[in-house]
Amino acid sequence: MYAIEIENLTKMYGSLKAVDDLTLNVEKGIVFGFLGPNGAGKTTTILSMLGLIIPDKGSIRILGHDVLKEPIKVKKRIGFLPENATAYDELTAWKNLEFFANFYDFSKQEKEKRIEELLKLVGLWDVKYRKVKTFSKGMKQRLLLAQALINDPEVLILDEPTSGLDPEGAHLVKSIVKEEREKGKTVFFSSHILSEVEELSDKVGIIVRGKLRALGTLEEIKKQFMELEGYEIKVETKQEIPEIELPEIIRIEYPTRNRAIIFAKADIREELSEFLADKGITIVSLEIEEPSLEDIFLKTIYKR
Amino acid sequence: MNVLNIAMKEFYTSVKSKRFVVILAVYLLFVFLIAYSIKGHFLELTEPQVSRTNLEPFGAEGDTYMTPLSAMLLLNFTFFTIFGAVMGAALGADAINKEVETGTIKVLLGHPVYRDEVINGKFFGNTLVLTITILMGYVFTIAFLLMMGVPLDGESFFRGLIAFIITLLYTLVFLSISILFSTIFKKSETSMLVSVGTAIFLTLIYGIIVTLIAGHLAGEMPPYGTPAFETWRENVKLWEQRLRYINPTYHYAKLIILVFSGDRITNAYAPLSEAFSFGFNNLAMLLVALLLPFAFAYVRFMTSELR
Repeated sequence: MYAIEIENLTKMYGSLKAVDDLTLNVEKGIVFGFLGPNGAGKTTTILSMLGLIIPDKGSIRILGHDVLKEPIKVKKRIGFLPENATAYDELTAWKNLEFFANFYDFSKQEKEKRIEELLKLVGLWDVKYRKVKTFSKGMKQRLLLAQALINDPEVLILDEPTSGLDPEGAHLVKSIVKEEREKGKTVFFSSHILSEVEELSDKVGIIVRGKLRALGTLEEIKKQFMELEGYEIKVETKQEIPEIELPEIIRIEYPTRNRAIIFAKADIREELSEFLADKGITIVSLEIEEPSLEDIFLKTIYKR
Repeated sequence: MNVLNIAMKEFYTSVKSKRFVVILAVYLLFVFLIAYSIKGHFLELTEPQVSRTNLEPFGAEGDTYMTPLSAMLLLNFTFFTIFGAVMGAALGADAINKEVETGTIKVLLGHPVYRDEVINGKFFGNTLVLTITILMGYVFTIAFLLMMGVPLDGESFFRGLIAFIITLLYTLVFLSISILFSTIFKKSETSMLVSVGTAIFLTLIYGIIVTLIAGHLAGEMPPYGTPAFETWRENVKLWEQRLRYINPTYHYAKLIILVFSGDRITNAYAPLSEAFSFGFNNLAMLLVALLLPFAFAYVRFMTSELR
């Protein structure tokens, strides 16, 4: 069973299609990175998952429950950190978490224990009785992360979780995401920070102008990309490289006499080594240049 | 349970806010000043009597039974006609849109909470704030009279409690209107301005405008002293009454006078049953004025998208 199932989700704002027929399944126990430029439809998708936005078409199921038909059953089992939000300014960090904890079936002791654990986890224990309005942006974001974890959720949905955080705060968020994965929880997070997605995600979805342009593990996405855009193979030999003639080759660049960069339609490393061996050339190195997530992301964005 | 949680949070943040402390301080100061300025009158009021009470700006008048306590409470509640409206309006004016502006609504609705529980919780939380404010004014009034050595009577005390409930209902009308504005306007500053403006308009300005409009609607004024003039004057009064009917302030003022209404023949309070048979329509109108905006606010909030 999937943790999150999004089927044909479409949302219009006037004539603008914010999300366009999005279908996406997220397996249980993985970290899913939802990547896209600003205005791509990430937040609209996430808010639809929470039932805060009513889609024009399509359905979303989380842990087997339809989010519009059974919102409470869904929300009891998920945690949500929205983008550009804050906790209640007039309440202390403790009071904020206590307020949110009251929506769940905690006993008084359990509640206090959980709040203490979370405040320690996000590094706000020492300022637990300070009003949130005196907090820095990073501290507020950490408190929001704590409220998202208050019910020990099975699925954690984070919208741009490290936005506005200093490196220490971002590191904390990342370590919490990793911890949740180790506990077998599912994490769905949106971001436009590529390194973060690359570091944390087991599976990635790239959304551009409301449409899902790529989906899979990083390896799968890279493979898909190379199949579409071509392979870049670097070869270095002991002797001078002869003219290479193989049908899959698009073009070749020769930076030096014994080095070549080959652009091919397929992975032709095997054929290439055989070709060079036949010519009596010794290969020093033969490697495929994998595209970075940044390459894929940028090409996906600008592709019409 | 969720409604109670939200209501208690709302109550806690409201009573700890500077806005509430300032409003409460101003209210109690005014009650004290009013009481202090007319303390001599109370001491002279040894024999309770029925006298004419005219709340001209709100369009209500009637005979009231004046004991020291009823006179003081009448003054207190008359002051609350304006003050209560502004306070109710100020409390609800940013109930919803501020949560949307700051994004806390998304955090809140990320938890197992229905939207109706949010709006109901906010309403009940602020109801509690208003109850405490009115109650404090009531207790303060009685305490002041006791300190002055003015004798209190049980009947006035009891009628004061009924007036307290009506006053709460009246302030809730403005709370409900302002919650509606908070679902209509995106910016909390705008809804605050419109809500407080509406409260001031209905309590202070509407009465003046009604007189002007009624004169206009009744047609050209005939020469003074002629039978046509009398008919015209009746027409003006009729139009005034019609126009005032849509203003909750009029119904509140009318009900307060009815609660303390006196009988000139017996020189005592008129029976409460009689007062309420006269005031039934006013009470019904206040309830409509409370429920209608809240129903609209409810529908708007339940169907709005929270981006």
